[in-house]
Amino acid sequence: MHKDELRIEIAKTCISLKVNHREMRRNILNYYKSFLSRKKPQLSITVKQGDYREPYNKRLICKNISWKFAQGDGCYFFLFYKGALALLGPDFKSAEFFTRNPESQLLLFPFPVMLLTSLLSREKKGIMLHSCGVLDGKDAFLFVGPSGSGKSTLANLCGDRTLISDDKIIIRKYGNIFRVFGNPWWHGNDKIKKSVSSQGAAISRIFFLQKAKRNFITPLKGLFPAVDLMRNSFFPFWDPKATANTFEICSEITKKIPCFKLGFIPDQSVWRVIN
Amino acid sequence: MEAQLKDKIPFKSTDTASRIIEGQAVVIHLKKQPAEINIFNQTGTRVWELLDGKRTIEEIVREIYEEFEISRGEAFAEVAKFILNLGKKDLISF
Repeated sequence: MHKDELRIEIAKTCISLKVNHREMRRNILNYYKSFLSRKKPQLSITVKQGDYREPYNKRLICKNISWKFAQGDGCYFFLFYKGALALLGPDFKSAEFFTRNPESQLLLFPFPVMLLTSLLSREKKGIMLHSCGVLDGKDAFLFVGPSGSGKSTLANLCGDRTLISDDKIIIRKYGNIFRVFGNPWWHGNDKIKKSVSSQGAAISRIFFLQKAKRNFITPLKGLFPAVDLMRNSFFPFWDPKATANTFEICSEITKKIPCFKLGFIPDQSVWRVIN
Repeated sequence: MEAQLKDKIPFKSTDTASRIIEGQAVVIHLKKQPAEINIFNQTGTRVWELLDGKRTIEEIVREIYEEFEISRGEAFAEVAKFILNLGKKDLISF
């Protein structure tokens, strides 16, 4: 391994980060310290601190509030409004990342997530989901919902149970089994972070969260849980094939794993209903 | 309206991603944020499959009334309304 290189492994995917700026490398190392790896990388990001120029002859493909994705000078690129540019390799498995700001947080979130979700969805290996994951013995329960649906509340109520993540979960497909993996991109406070696990576990139940005045559970079948899962997925919008694969994976997950609507009041009594 | 529409050739926007899931088309516009997931009924799904950029609306209507055993008038009204709605959502162009 080169002295400037860091390797991290998230959801069994190794990402190489080559960072020639010492302070930046230290920040990245500190952020990903529980996820370091020496495996062969599937994704590679070369980070260059300094000025850059946006490619010419560009064609906008899609954008959101923090970045735009376009094609120009024969390659695809993300332009981040916070002062960074990522030029992507043709298979989206490598990138040159230029940043003017050595304290840029984009290499912590969201840029690696964007490459990872793209790779997993494109190869039909998995998806990333807005959800909270909790270990139940060897298996995992998944609590799915958008911001404000109660994921953090439930994570805070998790007690001695191991939390896989409180906000974002990576699901990977292994034949008929879907396994969840923790990651560094948590949302909650330090108390929650201490119990976050990077280990993987097979999903045994999926609960779609709904704040309620009483605890209840209703089984869900058919297309509805699949669509709810899609609504809470991270779509790689820049990659139509990967986006369409995300639909397919969501549908497969909800066919194989029992799904429920979970209404709950924010106290420990919710676990009696779940168990 | 029929005369204006029947010879038009609609085609799916390249800014969409779609899959048929459990017999229903699930379609998303890649440039619209937040994402709106569109799910079509059986007829809508068949129309979506027929939007190949080669068939005219008249030809799509013919396929629909033959497959679903409804009158041509009903099929045209339903297909035209559906296709115009897809156009409003930028999921197709003409």
